[in-house]
Order: sequence, then C-alpha cells, then structure tokens
Amino acid sequence: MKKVGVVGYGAYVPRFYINSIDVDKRSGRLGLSKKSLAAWDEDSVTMGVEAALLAMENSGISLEEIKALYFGSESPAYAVKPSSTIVADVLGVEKNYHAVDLQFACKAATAGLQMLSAQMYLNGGGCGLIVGSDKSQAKKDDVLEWSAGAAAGCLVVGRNKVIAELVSTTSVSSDTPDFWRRGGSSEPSHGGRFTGEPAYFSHVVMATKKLLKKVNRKPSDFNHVVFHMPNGRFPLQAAERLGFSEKQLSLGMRVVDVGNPYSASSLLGFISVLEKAKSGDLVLVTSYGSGAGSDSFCFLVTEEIKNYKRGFLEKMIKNRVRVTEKEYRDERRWK
Amino acid sequence: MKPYPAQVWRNNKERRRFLGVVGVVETFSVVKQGPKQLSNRPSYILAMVGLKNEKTLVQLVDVDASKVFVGMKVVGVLRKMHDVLKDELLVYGVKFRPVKL
Amino acid sequence: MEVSDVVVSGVGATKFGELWDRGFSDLVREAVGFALNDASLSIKNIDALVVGNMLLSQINNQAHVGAYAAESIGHKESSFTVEGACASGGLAIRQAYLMVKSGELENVLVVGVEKMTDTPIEEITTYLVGASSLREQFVGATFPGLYGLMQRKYIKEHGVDGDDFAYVSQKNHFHASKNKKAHFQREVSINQINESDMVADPIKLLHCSPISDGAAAVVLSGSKKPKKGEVLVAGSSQAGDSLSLSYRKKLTSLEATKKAYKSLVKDVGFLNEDVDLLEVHDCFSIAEVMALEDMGFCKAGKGLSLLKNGFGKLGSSEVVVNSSGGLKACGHPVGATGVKQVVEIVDQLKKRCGERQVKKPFLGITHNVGGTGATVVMHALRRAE
Repeated sequence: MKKVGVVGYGAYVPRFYINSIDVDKRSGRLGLSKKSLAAWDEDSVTMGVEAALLAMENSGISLEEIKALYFGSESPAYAVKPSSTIVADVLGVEKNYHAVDLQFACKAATAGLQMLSAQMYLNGGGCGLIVGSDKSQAKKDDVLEWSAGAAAGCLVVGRNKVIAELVSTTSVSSDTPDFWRRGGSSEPSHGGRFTGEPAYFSHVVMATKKLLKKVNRKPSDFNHVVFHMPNGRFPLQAAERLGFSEKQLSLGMRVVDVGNPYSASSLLGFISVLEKAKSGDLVLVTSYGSGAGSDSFCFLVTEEIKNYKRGFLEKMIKNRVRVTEKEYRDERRWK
Repeated sequence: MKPYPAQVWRNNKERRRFLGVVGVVETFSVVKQGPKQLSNRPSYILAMVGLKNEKTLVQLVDVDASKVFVGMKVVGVLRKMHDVLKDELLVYGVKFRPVKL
Repeated sequence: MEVSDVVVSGVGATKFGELWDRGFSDLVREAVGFALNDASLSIKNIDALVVGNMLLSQINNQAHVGAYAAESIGHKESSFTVEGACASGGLAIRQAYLMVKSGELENVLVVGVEKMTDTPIEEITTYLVGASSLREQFVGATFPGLYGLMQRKYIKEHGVDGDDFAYVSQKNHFHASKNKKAHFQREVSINQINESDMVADPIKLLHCSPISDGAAAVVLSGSKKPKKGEVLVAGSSQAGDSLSLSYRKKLTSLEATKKAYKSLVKDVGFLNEDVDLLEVHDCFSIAEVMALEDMGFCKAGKGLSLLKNGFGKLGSSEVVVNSSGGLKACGHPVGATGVKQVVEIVDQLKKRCGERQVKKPFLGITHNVGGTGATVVMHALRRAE
C-alpha cells in the first residue's frame, strides 16, 4: 500500500508586520518579536486562497486531482456558510469534491489533516487540501493582543510523490475551558494563567508522549519538532519537559516572525521545517487547540523532497513592511 | 449595491479571471472619498492596469500611494472588495498588488 | 408631415446651488414658469413634456419621473424621462428637437432638473458612480477617481504642468461672478485652486464641479418660417463610446466628442472660427481641456496653454467658453446642466446676459457628456436671419 502523506505545501504571510514591542513594551517577556498584520480586506478565506494557490503551484497538482478541501479556522468568514467551498471555488475546483469546515481553536487544521489522511488512505487516488488560516483577534490591551497574528498554511495530502510520509498520529482531548469565543463576540476571552499548565502543557506533553510510545521512539530520534506556538516561551518549556532540544525546535519557531496565527501556527511551523528538511528526517508535530486537545504527528521526510520546489517562505517573511504604532492603531486599515 | 445571492453567485467565475495574472500600471488616482461601501476605509488607489490583450480598472493594495508609478508590475490577488452590512453576503474579488514586494 | 425648423420660443432657469427650501417639484415649477412666460405660452399650449433627470428614482424611489414632473405643472398630455447620466439634459433637448423637427408636435417643453443636496456626501457619491459601469463600481470607482486617472495620463502623455489646470476654474468662476443664478459667484485665484485639498490625486477640490440643486427649462416650437431675431436649434448630434474606461482607445480624449462635433459641423455647416459661444461639459477641469482639443480648437496636448493664454475668457477672447460659469462655477445639478447650457446660449443670443454679455453673438454650441464619455450630445444654436 502506497504511503499517505504530505505531497505539497504552501503558505501565506501578510505583507505588513509590527514589532511586538510597539504593541506592548512587555511582549519580550513572552519571547515575542514581531506579529503579522492582515489588511482590512484580507480574511481567513483570502489568506487561505493564497496558501492553497501556492501549494498547487509548487506541487504541480491539477484541479482534477483534488478530491477534498478541509478548511480550519477560528476566524471564519461566516458563522454559518462554509469557507472551504469558497476557497475551492476560487481555485477552480469543480463540484466533484468533498468540502469540510472545521473549528477547534488553534488545532482546527491538524484535526483535518488526520481525517483527510484517513480519507486518502481509504479512497486511493487523487489528493486533498488542508487549509489552516486565521486573522487572529484579541481584546484591546489584552495580553493576547501582543501575539495575535495572521497567516495561512496549506498542505496537500495524497499518495503520489509523498515528500513527508505520515507515519503515525494520535490525539488527546478534554473539556478544559482555557480560551473561548462566544457567538456574537468578535474577540476571544481566556483564563489567564490557567491557559498554561492545565491547558497547553497538559495536552501537548500528554499527546507527544502518547505518540512517542506509539511509534516506539525517543525524543533524540527526531531531527525536528514543532509545537503549537502561542508565544515564544511555551514551546521551549514544552520541549524541555519532554526532552527535546532548542536546536530541534529552531526551524519551526515561526512565532518570532508572525506571532500566533492560531490555526496556522503549527502548520506554519511544520511548513518551515519542510522548507529545509533533508530526506530521511524524522519530524514530530504536536498542535494544541484550546477547549482543549492536542494532535500529535510523526512524519518521515522522503527522497521526493529533493524534487520539490522549495524556498518561498523565507523570502515572503523577509519582504515585509514594518508598520508603526500609529499606523497600527488606525483600525480602518486592519479590522 | 446590495449583494444579492444570485448575483454574487453568477459573479463567482469573474473572481478567477485575473487571479495570479500580471499586468502593468498605465495610470492611477488616489480616491479619498469612496462610495458608501468604502467610506469607512482609508484612501485607496484606483488604477488602469494593462494586461496582455486588454486593460482593466482595479484597486491596488499593499502599497503606499507615494510608491506607485506608471509602469509598475502588479499581480491579481483575492481580497474582500468592500464592506457590507451585518447580515449581507461577503463580496470577494480581485485587487492587484505589486509583484516586487 | 413636413419637416419643421425648431425655434427656441422660451427659456428659464432657477438659481443653482444648495436650495434647502425647494424640492424637486418646486424646482420644476419655477423653471417652467420662467420658460413659459418667456415664450408667452401657457401650459395648455404644450404638447409634450420631456424631462432630463438622473437620480430621483434612486434617491426617493420616485420612478415615472416624467409623469411626476408633469403633475407638478398641471400638464396631462404626454411626458417621459430621458436619462443618460450627466447628459440627461442634453439628451432631453435632443429628443424634443427630433419630436418638433419631425413636424409631429408643435410645442415641446423640456425640463432638466436635479435635487442632490438632501443626501449626505457618501450617498450622493455612490449614486453618481452609477453613471459608470457595474464592474467599475465593483472595484470602487468614483467620478473624481476615474477622471483623475485620465488627468494623470494626460499630464504624463503631454508632459504638461498639472498646475495649469487651474486656468479652467479660474475662468469659469470669473464668468460666474457675473451670473446671479450661478452656484458660486465669487472668483477664485490660481493659487487657491492649486492649494485646495486633493479629492482624488491628481484632482483637487477646486477642479471639481459641485453638488447642486437646480432646474432649467426650454420650450421648443415648430416653425415654417422663423422670424428674424428668433433663436433656432440649427443642429443636434449625439455620439457614443464604451461605458467602461478600460475599453476606450485613449484615456486622454473623448472619441464621442470628436464624432458628435464632426457630425454637427457637417449638418449645420460652420467652421470653428464662426463659433461665438461654447458651453462645454467641465465636470472636472480636465474635461474642459479635452473638450476643446476634441473639437479642434487646438491640437491634442495644447489645451492648457490655449486656456493659459486667455482663450475662452470673456473680454480677452473671440469665443467665450462657459460664459454661464460652466459646471464648475454655475453648478452641476446633473439632469439640469444640458438644458441650462441651451438656456445660457439663448440668453446670450438674445442679448440678455447683462455683465457677462458677449458682443456680437450669432452661433453657440453646447456640449454635454454622460459618465466618462459614453454619451456626448451637442447642439448648435443660432439667430435666425
């Protein structure tokens, strides 16, 4: 049976960013450096389209091959009306596909990755797209504002020309109310320090340990590890507790460039790794979604990575324009 | 300019037309006071962009008006065209941004 | 039916401006009153009413505008509205001209009318951009934005100084200072114009015609033998071009003006040097410059230097351009403008213009444009011999 895995990827980071220190002078405490800013006319759909178009372009897949599109976000364009169909329609995918919209705080897309992989495994031919996209919102002067960023990632999942084989995946879940947004509110609320130990760490550590056991591996076996990045400190602490090194984390630590783009966070981290990974590399990815749960993955980078068109992400992140605090406060430009 | 569902749906194919297409700015102006659906937004740039066989009127994004010049290469991207009321359908379309970021 | 000559038997107009105390019907009644009086006719003598209006059905949900206007003046015979954006007035004149010329109708009343100041600025901007195409509206076009594109292209193509566009408004305000019915009656200086705020870079506030209320009316009558001193509509022409700017061959001239003028010149038989008066469509300063070039008063790109050297200015020029003050200074109630242009020429030909009277007027031309040039309608008016 042909392996299932990542066949291609794309991502989108908006053109503008602000230094976190211009949002709040204390942001350094959380290991934050920059956060991306999406313009008022951008949203999770438009960013998702950019990431998906790039994924299609770089992987060379055709529209006819696309059998499914899963869209994960916590800032969807509509409360009710799928974004997956909008993205697929803009891409040009005709009616013969399966569209799914997902919501689970910052891990909406990784849940989609699990389900789509299973679908591809069962149904053979063609491929599917996972899009994780968020234009993160936060209440004004809330600590969340220091890191709320915007970005989108897209993974193409299939069985032909796999560049990163999905070796194994597992999940943990619980009703832990650390971060939530009620319908009708445009910004989320959270439990302050409660979002740490009982929420993020508990699930990330448990899911990762569960995965390590499942694949019978130890931390040092992995070349790279990606954890969901709500800030610049939590992933480092999780790594330390689990026995991973800072070096293993380094390729995927996108939070310093974009802040926390919620559903796109671990996706972007994983894509950053794929941009530089070598054939044979073992990669561990653990996402985290508030409310709460973690999905953990073990990927094996294949020989195919040598044939894959890489290198766009670094350029995209470099070619950005810095926004001053005054420009940032003009909400008409961003909200 | 209410976005009626049938009209939005019929216009869906339009938004694929110029996505990813590269053109050249032939002339432009900077609009301060837009129509109702853009009146809560900052000034924006209207440009006549030359493509292979045609010209098209578009909005330019991701660039400051002072940096726009005749001859600038621009590419089509998906964006929200304008604001809509609370219960109205969102309207997506193509705007153009500089190729060289 | 035998073809008639078309005589302008009466004209009249309200003041143009922010007329808070007068609504649509009031404006119609006032202008019509002046015109009928001037024609020594009563409403009972009118065979048909043609109304030029663009916005009433959008602003007030009042369609059937011909009937609505007719009701306000007690006319029950026949009425209809003509709409061609800012050329609605000129088109209404043309319709009436054709109706009378055909010999079918004897007296046709034309009213051009617009009530624009009840709505806030962003609403009126939205309604006005209905004169462009749906797709142009979709991408956020506004009229200053569209003409701004044209002005920038013009400046680049002809290598001119953008500051020179100020000569258009300066001249038109000078003329309007002598017109008691103009929206603005004070002069403006070149500096004031160039220092005014940007509206749609490169177009500045004082390059733009204002939002105005107003109405103008004209009675056209059939005649087998026009008397000396009467004013005739010697010719009427209309030409068009694509609605969308993106399909035009050039952005720095209006093909429709060229065609309409050429056709008018051919039908009526005159030369540019015979023209004494021009009422051209200066919705924005660039529009007047293009109009003069398109009508051949100078070569393309030379319009600005022509105006800078005093062309068109009362007292300094053989031909006076926009003696009324044009759209810029007299005001631009959209549906009324095309009719007002005719009223002005007729008043000039009948030597009723007081301080702004031109010395020996014989032939006047009106030029009315819809949108960015999809519609151009022109008329030639002269004194009967």
